[in-house]
Amino acid sequence: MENPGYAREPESPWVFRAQLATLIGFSCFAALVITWIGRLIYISWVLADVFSASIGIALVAVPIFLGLAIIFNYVFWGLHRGRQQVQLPSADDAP
Amino acid sequence: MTESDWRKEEDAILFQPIFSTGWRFYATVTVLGALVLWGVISYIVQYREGLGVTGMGFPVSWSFYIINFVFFIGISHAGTLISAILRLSQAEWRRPVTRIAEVITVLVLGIGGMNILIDLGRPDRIMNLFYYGRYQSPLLWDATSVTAYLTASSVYLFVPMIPDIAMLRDRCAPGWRKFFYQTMALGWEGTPAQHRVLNRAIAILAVLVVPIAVSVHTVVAFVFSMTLQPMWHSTIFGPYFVVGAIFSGTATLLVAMAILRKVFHLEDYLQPIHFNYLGLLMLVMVLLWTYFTFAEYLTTYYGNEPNEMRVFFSKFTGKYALFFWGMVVCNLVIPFPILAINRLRTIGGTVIASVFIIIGMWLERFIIIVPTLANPRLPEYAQGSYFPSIVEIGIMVGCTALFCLLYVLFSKLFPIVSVAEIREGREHTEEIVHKRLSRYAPGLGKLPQVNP
Amino acid sequence: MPRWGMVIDLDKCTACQACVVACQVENNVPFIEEKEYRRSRAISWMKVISETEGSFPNVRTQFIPRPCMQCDNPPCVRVCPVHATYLSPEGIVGQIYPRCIGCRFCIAACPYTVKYFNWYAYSARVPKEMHRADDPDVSVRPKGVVEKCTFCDHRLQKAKDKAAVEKRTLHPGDYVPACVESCPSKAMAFGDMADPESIVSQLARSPRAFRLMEALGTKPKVVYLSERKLYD
Repeated sequence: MENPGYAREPESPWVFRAQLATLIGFSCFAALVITWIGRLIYISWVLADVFSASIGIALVAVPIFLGLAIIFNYVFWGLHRGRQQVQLPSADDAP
Repeated sequence: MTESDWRKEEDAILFQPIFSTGWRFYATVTVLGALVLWGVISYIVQYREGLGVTGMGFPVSWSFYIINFVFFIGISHAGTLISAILRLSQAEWRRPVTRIAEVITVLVLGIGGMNILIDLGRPDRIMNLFYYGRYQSPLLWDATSVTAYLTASSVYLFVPMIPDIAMLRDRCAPGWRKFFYQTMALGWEGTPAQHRVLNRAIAILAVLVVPIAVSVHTVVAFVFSMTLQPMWHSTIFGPYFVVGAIFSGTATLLVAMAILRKVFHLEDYLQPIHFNYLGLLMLVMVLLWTYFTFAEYLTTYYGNEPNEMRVFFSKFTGKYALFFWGMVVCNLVIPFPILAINRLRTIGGTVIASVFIIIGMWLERFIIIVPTLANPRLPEYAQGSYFPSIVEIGIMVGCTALFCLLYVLFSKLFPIVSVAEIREGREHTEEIVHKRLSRYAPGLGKLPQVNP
Repeated sequence: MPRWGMVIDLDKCTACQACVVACQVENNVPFIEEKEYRRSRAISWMKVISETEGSFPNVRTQFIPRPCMQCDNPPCVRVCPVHATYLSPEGIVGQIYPRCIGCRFCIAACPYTVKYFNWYAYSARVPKEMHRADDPDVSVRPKGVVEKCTFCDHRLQKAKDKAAVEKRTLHPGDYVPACVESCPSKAMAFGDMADPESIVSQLARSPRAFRLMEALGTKPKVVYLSERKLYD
């Protein structure tokens, strides 16, 4: 591939914090949507208003959002763990 | 690597829009920005005065915004079809095209959803959808599936882009931009472990995205077919809309490819063969769309139910005949010969066919929505004659300009052709394809012997 | 639990439109200026529609006062995304104006086209002095919400309150909508369809009785009496 030594310059710690913030933001969004769906199920139960439709749609929609959150987390932590253990310093590195 | 090194690379032209900015970029952004501003001002007028500033009335209470909503959401099928299905079927020619398609999808879904919000009489009460929503209403199915599709296609756009962002990160001069790329690259280095993670995630996403996409346009169709109105209450609507969506999405993709090829000098990457293959796909969709339309209208005509026939004749020979026959000309009469005849299926030919198809599909949405509303079952004193107002036109122009503007900004930040995928193809395509060929029939796929 | 319904005798109706005017006054239906009328935006909860058959000189016109059908299986309630239109236990399809988001799905779904939309803040555009004639029991609608005939359910509420104060149940005739009350030819009757002895139930059993577009399955609770059946 194009990076033969898998060498990478060191990054400031803020980069990881920003990445984590994005991950948390996305997971929160997925959680929010699932909460919304849950609220709609609750309302339809309380108002006796086609509970079955809410359950049916939730059975499809909730796994999708859950799945997307899981995939994003999988990619994030997978890439994080898959890095080279040693990060070469940017300057002198005599072969 | 420094920022100047990228010019010496083989795919330098793909990095050029990102690292060098010319006057044409600023000019484009200014023009598009002005059009978007027109749209924003139009919307502010509408928000303050009420929906009365549009041309809608009674009984045509849904028109431009709902048409645009269906139209834009329809175009979103470009990304799924090309990206996911071609990836799943391992078609090697998809490599330069996937990102162009995926960006169209993400942007167009956002704008389509925005059109629904624009259509609301009380957008300040949008939170009521969260507090009091009802899943029996097709609009809630819409809201859920469009959100799901937007999220899924955003993730599906981002994950394969990670290696490209890493390339940009490594070539970028230090600064805010580099920080942005470092953050988004998620520590990509190209190790085998990371490749495994990425490929697995992309494979799962490709499978996940297809049924979500099909469900999105099906539920958009259900908004109409779940009512009892003549020529809306039709069982064919779900598949009809999906076919129409793939149709208009592919056409938009072709136009986008042609423009990008011209503007960014991508002649080596977007070759006539890509336009040819997509043109063939579009030919199939022309025939499929015609088949569905024919089935729909013949069924109505043969049934001869009075309410439906009033709507039918208002489309065929009445007030909306121009739009109906215009739709037929734009969707069938013009594209079919261009796409069917090999000699005409060039880049120019497919683009011309695509432009007509985009117009024709917009007309199709109009023809589906307005005549039914304009011919209610009970006689009304106003048989609904609809004409769009300047506000509606302004908002439609603003939405289209916003799509183009966001696309231009995307191409400024990220490579519009997937560099990593092309490089992966350069290294692995031959062996993938040869391995595949050898399974088709005995004796196939032998690498050519080198003469000593 | 009563189920409120209406019977309209088309053979007695003179199409005088007193019901339309009474409804407008009772329910604060806004006046629409001529420009808006020409853009097909006039709101009239009760409307007299006409159907003309034949050609001159053998013309026959039928006038049909058309309130909301108050369906027992309402297509508008099914499609509302926010519970802003709902079917009450007593059979009245009501509107919750503060909750309506103005998506107009119910307008598109109603096969009788009885629902109207406030394209502008019509009530606010009426001259201020005219608001002194507003009925205080009925809310004035803002812009961007859907409205329709509600069988004057504010009158139902007042009748129930009065009966509660006087410690009795509702008598027939305590609650009649404004249109029924105003009809000079006594062509309209209103009452409890769940009570087999009420006037509406008896009239609904007449051989002249029919409902509009019954085959759609909406179960409308407005029954028409006529020698000729229409729109079924």
